[in-house]
Amino acid sequence: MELQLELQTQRSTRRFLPSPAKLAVNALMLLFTASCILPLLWIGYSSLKTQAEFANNILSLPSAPQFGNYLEAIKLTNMLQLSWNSARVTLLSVIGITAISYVTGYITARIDFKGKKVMIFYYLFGMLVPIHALLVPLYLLFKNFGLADQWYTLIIPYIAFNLSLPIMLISSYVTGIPKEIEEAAAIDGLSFSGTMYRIMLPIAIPVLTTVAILQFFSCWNEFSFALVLLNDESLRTVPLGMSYFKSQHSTNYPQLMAGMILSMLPVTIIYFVFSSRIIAGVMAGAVKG
Amino acid sequence: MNKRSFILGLLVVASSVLSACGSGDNEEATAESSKNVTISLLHRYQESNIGKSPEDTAVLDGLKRFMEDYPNVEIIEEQLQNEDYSIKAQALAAADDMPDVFIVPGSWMTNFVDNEIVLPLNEELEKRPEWRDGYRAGTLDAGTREGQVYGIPIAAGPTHLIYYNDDLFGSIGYDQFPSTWPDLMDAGEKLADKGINLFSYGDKSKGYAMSSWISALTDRINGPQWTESILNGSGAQFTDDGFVHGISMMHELAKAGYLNKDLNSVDADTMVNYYFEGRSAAFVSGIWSAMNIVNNAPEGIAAGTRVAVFPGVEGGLGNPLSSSGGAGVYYSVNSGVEAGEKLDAIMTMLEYMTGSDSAKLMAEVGGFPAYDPGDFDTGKLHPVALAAYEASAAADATKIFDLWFDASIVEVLNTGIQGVMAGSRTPEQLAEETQQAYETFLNNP
Repeated sequence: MELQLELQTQRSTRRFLPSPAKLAVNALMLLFTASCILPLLWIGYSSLKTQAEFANNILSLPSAPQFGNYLEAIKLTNMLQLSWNSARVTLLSVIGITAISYVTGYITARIDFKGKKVMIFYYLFGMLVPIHALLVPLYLLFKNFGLADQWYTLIIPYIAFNLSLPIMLISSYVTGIPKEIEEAAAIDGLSFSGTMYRIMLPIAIPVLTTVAILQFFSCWNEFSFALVLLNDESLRTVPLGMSYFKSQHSTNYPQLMAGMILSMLPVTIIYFVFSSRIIAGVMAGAVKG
Repeated sequence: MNKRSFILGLLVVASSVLSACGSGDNEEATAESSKNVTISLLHRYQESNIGKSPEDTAVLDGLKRFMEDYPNVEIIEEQLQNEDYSIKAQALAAADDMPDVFIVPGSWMTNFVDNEIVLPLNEELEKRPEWRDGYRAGTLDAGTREGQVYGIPIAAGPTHLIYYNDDLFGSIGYDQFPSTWPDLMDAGEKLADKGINLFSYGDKSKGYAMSSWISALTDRINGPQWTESILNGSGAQFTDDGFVHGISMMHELAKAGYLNKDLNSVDADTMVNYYFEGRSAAFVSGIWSAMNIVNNAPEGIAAGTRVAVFPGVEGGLGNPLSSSGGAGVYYSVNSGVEAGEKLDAIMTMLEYMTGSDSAKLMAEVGGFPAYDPGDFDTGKLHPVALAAYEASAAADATKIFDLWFDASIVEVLNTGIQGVMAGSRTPEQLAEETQQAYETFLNNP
């Protein structure tokens, strides 16, 4: 009896006292976490410093929080206009990407046709082409077709360049859904497109959400196309707006950081709201059923 | 809300967005019809820098005055930050779609002239001799090829000045900046004992060493004739003792530990911040850093900052007071612009943006204009800015290598010097590599 009790206490203490190996792994993970979170905290409190304070000691806490930096940042960059431009371009692009990649991904997963492999390779190849190599030809193309410098200009390359990964994700997700569901729908008399939209689309919602969220980040943060394809200042997006804080030979870091926090806000909120869905969606596409 | 009304709502929003854009275009069309000349302008001066950067302040003020005086001219202006400007301008140049007026850094000039992207301006300047002759000596040079002016300079001034903390040097027994190299090394050692770097140094962007150090140092030792001889291909070599000596001096400062260890991985902003934090007693930079100190340095540092140039080198052939300098960037006109009303308007606009009034304003807010501003009100200038201005005006400007040497040679030097400063290459090796690039260039110019 006593022995049993002793064993039990041993077991319970063991549960609370992790082994040195576990401790080491946890410590390592904590370090990784800190390396991601500390810079964010640093940006956060640095955005409240004066420029001289920042220059004096870049790590110290602000002595008197300068919320004026945020007002200045909003005024300087016309943040509302930038955000509206970014939001409009990003939302329409994400809708386009999700719609096109669902249809393409579904068809490559379910139908065998001539040239399918070539098509899949073509989409995969899209992930390998560096954007900078395409800036000049793309600029020429847009200019000659009168597509440059319009409110919808960026939507076209954003959709085109962000299709590869979503198509792969959706295709592998759809492959994992049992075919019997579609066969049952066909027996009940549903057409191909009916099956695709009314039966399979709701099942694919998790992966579509993932695709939408991932591409939201990608479009929101895009810089190179926005720089080269737009001339009109009233069309600029948030990443371009960050350059207002830099002059040729100096940078107003506290204001830049205030601007960064403001520009990160929408993306961060979206990430926190949907983070569980993103993870679920990525996992869902990862394992074949 | 059911699905149908949601889709309907979406359509309404989409169509209102579309129609709003359509009406915007119409308004622009009516506005355009009242203007008879349209000039497109792409530059790296930004509204948000007015008051912070002398160049931006003066150039944009000139543009504003021009627009007020010439309401019939429509300006389609695009302002970009420095690095963004480089990316975009190079993309536009490659696509042969440059705007009417744009900025050309000196190092791009040869390429732009060879590819006929820029318009020769002699004829136009001939009509405005008073304006043309107002530029400081030498400032038009890097924008001139075979006697033809292709670029109108904006700001000039040394790329090599030393900003130093008088209090820190005072604390080790120097009441002014060391006047000989042995003294400088001695000061470096004394400062190192106190845990302070002699200079902070930031060459992350590749080009800093060449702009602010190598051009001035080499001139101290070799004299300007050597540079001329390299440029003419008349005998001078990069393997000459003088050039190797200059690089060795930089190497020694790094090897002795008188510079910050992360010298190749920090940019110029961080370099200046190290000085602000008191981690270094001095830094080498151009005239542009003066206003950075005035605006951003902690009060004690700004008050204790003085301006100097590298000490002379024993047996050196160059003027010990000289500094590498000249104009760095130019306004150029698209070669597609034809003579007539439009070109006339462009030249007037450039005169407003870079000429007399603009130059005066630039000097008054702490810049060093390419156009001689004559007498101006120095009353509002911070002592650091005034000291930098005076050092600049007194210095004998010598050529900045990265504006003059071919890009292939500049690239070898810019990359190689990082190796030398990190200790992975010797100055002799760098000299040898540069000489090879130079010979290749001479054989296939």
